[in-house]
Amino acid sequence: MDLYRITIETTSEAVEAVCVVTDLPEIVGQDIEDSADLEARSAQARASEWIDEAFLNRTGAKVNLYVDQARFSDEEVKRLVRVIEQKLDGIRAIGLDVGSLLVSVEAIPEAAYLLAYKEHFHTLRVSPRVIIAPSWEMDRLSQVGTIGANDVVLEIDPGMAFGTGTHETTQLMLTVMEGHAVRDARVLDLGTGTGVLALAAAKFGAHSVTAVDVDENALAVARDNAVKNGVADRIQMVVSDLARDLPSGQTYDFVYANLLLDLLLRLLPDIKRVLAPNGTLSVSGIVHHQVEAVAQAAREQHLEIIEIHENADWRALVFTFTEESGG
Amino acid sequence: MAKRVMKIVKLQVIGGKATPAPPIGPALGQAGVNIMMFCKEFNARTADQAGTVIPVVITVYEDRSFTFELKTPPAAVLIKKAIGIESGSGEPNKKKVGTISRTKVREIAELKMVDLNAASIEAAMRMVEGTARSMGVTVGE
Repeated sequence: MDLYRITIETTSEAVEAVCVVTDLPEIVGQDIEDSADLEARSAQARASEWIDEAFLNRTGAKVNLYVDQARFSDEEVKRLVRVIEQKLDGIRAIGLDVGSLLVSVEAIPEAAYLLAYKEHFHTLRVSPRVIIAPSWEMDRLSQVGTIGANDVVLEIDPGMAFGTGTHETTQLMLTVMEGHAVRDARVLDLGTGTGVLALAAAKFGAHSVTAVDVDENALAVARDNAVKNGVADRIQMVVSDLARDLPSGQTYDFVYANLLLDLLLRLLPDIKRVLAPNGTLSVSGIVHHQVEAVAQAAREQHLEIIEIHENADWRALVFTFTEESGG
Repeated sequence: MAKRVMKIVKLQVIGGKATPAPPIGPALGQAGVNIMMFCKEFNARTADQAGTVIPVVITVYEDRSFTFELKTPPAAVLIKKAIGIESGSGEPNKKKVGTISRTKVREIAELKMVDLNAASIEAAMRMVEGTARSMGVTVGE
C-alpha cells in the first residue's frame, strides 16, 4: 500500500489528545514519536545502548497519520489536511500546552517501508550447520568463515513473507532438526513462511517434504526459494489452515511447527492424524512462560516432551507419543 | 557492545494482531526493521491479550535490531471504560458525550504515571483531563 504520511508537531503532554481528535475513518494507522518515551523506557532497555546528544536533546512529540494513496487524489489529501487542522484547532483550549500543531504531508511508496530491511539482511550462520544467505549475497558467502562439507547453505529471498531464518525461533528449530534423523524421512513443515525449515529438511536429505501455509503469497515465495535451492522436486507446497486441509491417510515422521501459542494449541488435536506413530513433533515460537500451557495441551493428546531447547526467552519443544497412547 | 539508538516510536497495536499494514509497516519498515520479525515477536508476547489495544514503545538500533516494551492502555481507552462510553465526540467543543469525576481522573493518572514520565501526579492528571476534553468528556468535581 502506497501511503501519505501526515505529520503533526505537538508536545508530550498533548500527544494523546492529538491522537484522539485525528482518529478519523480515513486514517489507516497512527504512530507517535515522543521525546518523553525515551526516558520512560525501563532501565533494562537502556542498559546497553548509547544515544546521540542530538537525539537526547529532542523535545516535543510528533503524531504520524497514514492514509492510503490509492483512495485519495492530491486534492482530497489537501482537503483531509484542512479537516485535520480544524480538529486540531478544537484542542487549543483544552488546558494543555499543545505546541505548534504544524501539519506536513509526505508520500511513502510501499517499497520504501516493506523492503527497506533488505539492506540490513546479511549472510549468517544460524545454527551449527546451517548458513542462510540472501540471494544478493550468494557470491560473498566467505564473509561467515569457512563452510564445511556437512554445512548446508540456504539461499533465501524473503520478499514480503515471514522468515529470513535469522529469528531465534527459526534458529532453535534448525538446531532441533540437525539433531533429528531427517535423511530419507517424510517431513511436514506447518507454517512454512519463506520455506526456511522445509528447505533445510530437503537439504538434509529428507525423502519428501510437505510445506504448508495459510498464506498463498508466502507459498509463492517459498516455491521460488525451493527452485533457487534446487530442491523444488522434493517439496510439495500446500495451502492449508494448519493440518486441516492435508490429505487424510498421509503421515509424517517429523512435523515441525514454528507458530504462535494460539495456533499450536489449535493444531494439537489434529496432530494424531498427521504424525506417524513413532514420529516426532517439534514446536517453536513459544515464549518461556507459555511452555506449561503447550505441555498440558500436548498431554491431552498423549504427547510427552522429550527435549526442550532455549534461545533467550524463546523455547522449542520436541514431543513423541507416550507409550500408553497405543501410538 | 553498546548499540546506537536510531529511532523510538510508539504504536497502538491490538494484542496478537500485528501485521505489516500501517502503522507498523511504515513506522518500522522505513527505519530498516524486518517488519515480519516484529510482528512475530509482538504477537507471541501478546497472545494472552488478544483483542486489547496495547501501546508498545519500540526502540530501533543502528544495526536495525529492535526491542520493545508493552505499556498501559491509552488514556482515551481508560476514560471510555471509566464512564462507560463506546467512543468520544467528533466535535468535542460542541457535543459532550459524558462527564468524568476528578477521582476517576486521579485513578487513571496514577495507573498511567509509570508510562507518562510526568513530573508529578498533578501533571499526569492534567494530561488525562486534556485527553478527556479532546474527546468531548467534561471533567467534573
